[in-house]
Amino acid sequence: MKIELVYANTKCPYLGSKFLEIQEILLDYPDKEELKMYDIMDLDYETVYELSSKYGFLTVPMIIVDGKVIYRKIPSISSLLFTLENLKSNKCHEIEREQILLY
Amino acid sequence: MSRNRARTDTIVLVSILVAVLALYVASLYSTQIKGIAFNNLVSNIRFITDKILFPIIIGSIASAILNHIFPHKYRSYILAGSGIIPILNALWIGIFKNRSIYETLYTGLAQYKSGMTLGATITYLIISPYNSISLIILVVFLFGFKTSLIIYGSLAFIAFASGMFAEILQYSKFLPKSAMISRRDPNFNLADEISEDLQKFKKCLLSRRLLFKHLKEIVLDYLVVLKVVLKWSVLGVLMAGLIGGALKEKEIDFFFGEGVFSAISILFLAAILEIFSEGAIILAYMFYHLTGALGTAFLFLIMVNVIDFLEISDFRHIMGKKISAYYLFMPLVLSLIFTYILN
Repeated sequence: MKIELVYANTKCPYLGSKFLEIQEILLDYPDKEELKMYDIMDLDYETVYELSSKYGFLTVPMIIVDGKVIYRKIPSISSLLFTLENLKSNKCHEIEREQILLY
Repeated sequence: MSRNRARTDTIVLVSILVAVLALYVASLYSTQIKGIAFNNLVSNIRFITDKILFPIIIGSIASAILNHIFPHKYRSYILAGSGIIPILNALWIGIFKNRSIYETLYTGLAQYKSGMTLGATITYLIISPYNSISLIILVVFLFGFKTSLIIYGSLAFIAFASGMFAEILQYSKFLPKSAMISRRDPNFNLADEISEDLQKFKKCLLSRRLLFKHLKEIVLDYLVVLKVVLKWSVLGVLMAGLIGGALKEKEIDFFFGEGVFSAISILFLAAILEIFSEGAIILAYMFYHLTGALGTAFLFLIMVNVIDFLEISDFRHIMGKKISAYYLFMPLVLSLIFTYILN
């Protein structure tokens, strides 16, 4: 599973702690093959161009799994784990239904 | 590096509590203040709390639901491209989510970096701190429908004009060009996407498990929104109560009324206060309620967030000095004109 996370390095108490929480979950996720994290403030334009031509506007946060954007908002941890588990077991139908109201 | 917002929050809260305590102590010893200032403070706090409680509860529910059901994937299509359309879309896109000032800023900067035009970014940054559904409801309940229309009409005009003029200045090379401008995906059909998503939504409603899960998510979202809104509202209420309680009528008119000095003192207050959208709306309402000067209240409302964004160094890091200066100058000039007209 190739996971990418676009985030902003912010000291805002709410946003900062949420990003940190997501980072920790993704770092500890056992089934990831690769994890890339992009801090929007430090991104060079080459990477920005590459990412936004694939996924549209970059938003913070943005969670991409195997080339598919699965979140453009801060998900709850349970929701994130549910989606990752379903992606792992290839239950696309479940994910689609799950995502419609969350993406 | 951004400043430590948690520390700022604590400083603001502690200074307000110290001021309230000082006022209380002063009311015990001074015959002039005794019985007037503290009573005024308490009655002002009660008055404003009664007014905001209902709209905050309703507004936060509306915001949580809208945020949950709006697919944020549409943003790429809605805000992409150049010219007037993305600027017009930037005026209303914020309605779906109650974003903190940081979320608004970083979302705006991220979108600017990945190709949203400068005009749309400036429009988005000026209006988005106030146009979420929860804040619209709060403004309507406080100011009344007609005055709210005037406030939002003026705000939309300033955001739109600042965005358009930025595009013109960029075209005439007075402002630096954006590194990239994103184009709309020609294969993306918004109507088809919406109808497909609605079909999925209907299917989702049929599943009890998913329905319960989404309701749970909405409640969690609601609690998050409510927490943020309440925190800044409490600060707003305390400050509004303090101003109403500590100052005499003449002083209130002098500092927050219709005169030129009022505009200067409002700008000074906007520069030093860390209060964000909810608190700013409550304070602005208090100025309006006490003095009847709608223009001055409006000036405070718009400038408090403009200045706050500029204080965050990431803004200058991404936008550069020239655009940052423009971002302060243009809304300031336009809001001063509107202040004069509205007063």
